[in-house]
Amino acid sequence: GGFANGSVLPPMILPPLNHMITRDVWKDNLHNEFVAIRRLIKQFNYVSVSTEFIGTMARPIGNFETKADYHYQTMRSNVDLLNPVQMAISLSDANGNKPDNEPSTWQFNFQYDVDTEMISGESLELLKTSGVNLDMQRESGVDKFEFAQLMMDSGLIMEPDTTWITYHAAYDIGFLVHILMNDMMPATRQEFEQWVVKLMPSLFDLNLIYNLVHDFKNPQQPASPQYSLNTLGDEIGIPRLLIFTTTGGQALLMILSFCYLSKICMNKLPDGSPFSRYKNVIYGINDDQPPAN
Amino acid sequence: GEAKKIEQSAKKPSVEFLPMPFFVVDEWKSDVQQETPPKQITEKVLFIANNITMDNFSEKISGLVNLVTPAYYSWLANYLVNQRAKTEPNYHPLYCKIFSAFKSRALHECIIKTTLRQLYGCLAAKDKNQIDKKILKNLSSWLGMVTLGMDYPIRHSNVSFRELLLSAYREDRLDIIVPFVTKVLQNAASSKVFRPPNPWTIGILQVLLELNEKANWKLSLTFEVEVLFKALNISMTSISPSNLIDAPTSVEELSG
Repeated sequence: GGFANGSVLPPMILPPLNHMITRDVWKDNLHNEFVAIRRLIKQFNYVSVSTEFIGTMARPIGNFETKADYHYQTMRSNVDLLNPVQMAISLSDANGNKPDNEPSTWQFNFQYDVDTEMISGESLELLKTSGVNLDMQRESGVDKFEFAQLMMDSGLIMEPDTTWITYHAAYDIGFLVHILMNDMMPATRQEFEQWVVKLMPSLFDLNLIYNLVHDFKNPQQPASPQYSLNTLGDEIGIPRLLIFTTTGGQALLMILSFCYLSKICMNKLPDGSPFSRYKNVIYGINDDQPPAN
Repeated sequence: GEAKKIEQSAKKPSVEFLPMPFFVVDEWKSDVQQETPPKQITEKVLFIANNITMDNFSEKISGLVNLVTPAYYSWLANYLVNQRAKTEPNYHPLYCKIFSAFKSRALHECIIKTTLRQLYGCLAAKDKNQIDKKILKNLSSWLGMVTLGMDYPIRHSNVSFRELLLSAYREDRLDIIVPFVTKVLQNAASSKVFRPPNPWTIGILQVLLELNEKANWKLSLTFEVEVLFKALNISMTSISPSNLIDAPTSVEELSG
């Protein structure tokens, strides 16, 4: 049970269908779609990001000072080792408004060849059943390096006026930082954090905000690790529509949920502290020692 | 004042500009109405600006910061860019330090927009003989320093570097555009984000390498590219050239 039963939060009103259209991006329409992204970001400067990858394959060995170090090293080794299959972004303004007459959610389908990727049989089966078109991903996928170039000067990156929204951000942001660095991941989580602050100076992890809101409403029942973006959606009354199941749909669900929560809570958490206190705090990576804002 | 202005404009030959779809200067928007400061303030500001150095910076700068309120940002940017940075490349780090002391993103934006506007005048002049190459290089270095050198991206909506290079190749303007691009990019060396292997930087270097191989340009441009690679501390063989200049639609495809 969450705060919806409580019920201080009014139910979420779903946006019109034309706000929920996801545009699939392949190498042929990559540059064209970035024309729209560069134009829209000026007005719709909240952007959520979601990534599809085959799941953790590697576990680091050794001694780790803290749990957060272990989390970071696990993420780091997997991000260095694996290629993301898809990455999606969704744009809106601070109030959740989206452009009316064109898509504002994009699912970038990366060049991905299952024959050359490190992938287990189990993960391969999962990919096949998840609706990913493996032939298209191999033949017409977006080149990550070209994607990174277009991201860098799009108005999304290194812009304090652009607010990034993530959910349980470590891997999503890890893959994005890795693509934008075009280099091996930083050796320590502190260095990683510096990169995140440089590249995405204003970033929120919705997972943390959800847990804080939840814990306040339900002090006897702390947020469980089973909670996900989908259970957050349930709590605020977003129906589990089929469109939310894709990578693009997850980015869409993320930004809808964030904007709803921030609007309803007037940018304040239940204990009265502003959302901005959780700027650049990433679940499991640096929430033990949040960066000073 | 007025008489001198007229005299200056009479001396200047009229300049015809080319359209520049890949170099766009947008208006700087300020929340504060911009004014020219009264004479007693400009005199004080100029006095400090003429006497400030890296050595006495900390004692002089607060006087300047206190005098220049947000209403005078546009005036200050105009002064720093057009009166100083444009002709005094040796003092670029000092001028950079001066406006940075304001810790104002609005002023920083204003400096960038003012620089872009000045550069437009250089890059777009139809008659290449009217372009002062020295000023072009000074302003290009300055632009790189106040953007890439300070981890500040140059947005594609202002300057699309790859498209700019490719269209300059077709329009026989590489001798103007290449020095601009190389001087801006040299500043990536001092940025943790923009120095190679940053993908945006590498992408532009790839186009420069392709042009160096195929454009049949004069040796001075090859030299510009070599100096850039040296400044970025990478070898010219460590990056593969792009394959864009022979494709007739490459500019259109890149720009969407």
